[in-house]
Amino acid sequence: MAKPTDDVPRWTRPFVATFLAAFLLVALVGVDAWPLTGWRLFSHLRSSHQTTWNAATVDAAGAEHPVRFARFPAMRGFSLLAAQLPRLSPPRRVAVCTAWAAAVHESDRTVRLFRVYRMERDLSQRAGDRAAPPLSRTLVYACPPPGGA
Amino acid sequence: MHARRREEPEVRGIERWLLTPGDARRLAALRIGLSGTLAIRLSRGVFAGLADQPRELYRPVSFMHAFGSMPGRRLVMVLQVVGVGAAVIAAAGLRPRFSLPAAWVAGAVLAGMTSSTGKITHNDVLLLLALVPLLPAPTSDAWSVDSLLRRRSRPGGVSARYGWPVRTAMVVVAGAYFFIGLWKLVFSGPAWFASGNLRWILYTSSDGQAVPNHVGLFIADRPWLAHVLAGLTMALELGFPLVLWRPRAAWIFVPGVIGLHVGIWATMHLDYWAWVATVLVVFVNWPAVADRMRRGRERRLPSFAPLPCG
Repeated sequence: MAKPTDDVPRWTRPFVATFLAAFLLVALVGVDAWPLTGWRLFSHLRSSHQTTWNAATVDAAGAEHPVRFARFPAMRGFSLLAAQLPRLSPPRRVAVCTAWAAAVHESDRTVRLFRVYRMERDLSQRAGDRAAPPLSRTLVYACPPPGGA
Repeated sequence: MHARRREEPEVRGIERWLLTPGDARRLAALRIGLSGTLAIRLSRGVFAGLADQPRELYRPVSFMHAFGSMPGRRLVMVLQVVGVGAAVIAAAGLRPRFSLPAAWVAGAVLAGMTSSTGKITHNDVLLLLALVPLLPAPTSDAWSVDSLLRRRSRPGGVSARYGWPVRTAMVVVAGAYFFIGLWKLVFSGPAWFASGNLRWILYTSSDGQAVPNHVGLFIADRPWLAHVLAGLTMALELGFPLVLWRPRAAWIFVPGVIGLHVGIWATMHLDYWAWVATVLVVFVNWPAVADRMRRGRERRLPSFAPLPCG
């Protein structure tokens, strides 16, 4: 019978030690050094009060249409970026908003304006299978698609 | 000095455990299962959808900073073709020392794209990390094209060379679940399961879906059920490393976390199938399954013993 550790190459121990040390260090510090990660999945406590970010487009007639994010892979991460919008410099804010507007405009040429809303909800208030209407809906930013008006 | 003297036997004990001889077929099963899963994951359309995302929306992580913006369609296509092809070749056991790293690099970049949109996406990270120990390991000494070509297959070969990659992957998987539970405890404490936390998570998810999610709503509408499921989730995550000390505990924890991921998919439509596959590939003793099938004992359940020795 083979003895433990009998025939591993010399590099095995440093390789395993380095890999596991990096894995543990990144996990313990809780940072992300992709593909090493801090493993913070659903770790923060949620309350019934919820802030969400939504987007809508406005057509030439002035009618507003909610943006279906699933249709636009480029909109991935919208909520996180939208939450950062107020903290961005004005030129950066314009650039980010225009990039979203362009992504939507590419598939719908009738889009004249792209709007970003912040909504406050109380999740404990239900209307059937859905949340009750938002407590507040605030227009945070709006921009036209590139070349639009 | 005293601390060091106490630590040394423990370190040696961990080293002995990691370098315990293992079956070449068990390592080959990891190569086949994890590479096959990687091939499936890399063939998805999400990467092409992200390609050419406007530069302003790019939020690179780690080495993804090397790209000034989201990789373009042509590069994504090359990465997908190379990644899927290399992963299939690695699964077949043809020169995995070259094919597996090629597949892994393509996977790290492509999955890095999904994490460069403002939020780390963990869907493929466990698979990628569990593959790391296999990259330099002799994974094709059994159940492989290489071993057939060399005509020196060693199906019963047992050596520490085959044991350490499997055990290191086990540590990664167990550690991942443990840290997920630990951070819940650190940031939220017992309120993670004792408050309405899970209810609000499920309501939020259902409200964000095109059609209300009745499985999620069934749980969210029953606070006692949400508390029980949240408590079980934390217990499974924090307790998962027990399988490293007590292999029989895998009979509880492996089906437990698979149930957890199935539940997450049913209620929130979050795609953690790569985690399910990784847990099954790493913790099921596939040579034992193969042996039992060969002996025609199909009615008996597979063993979860970590590594057959001797």
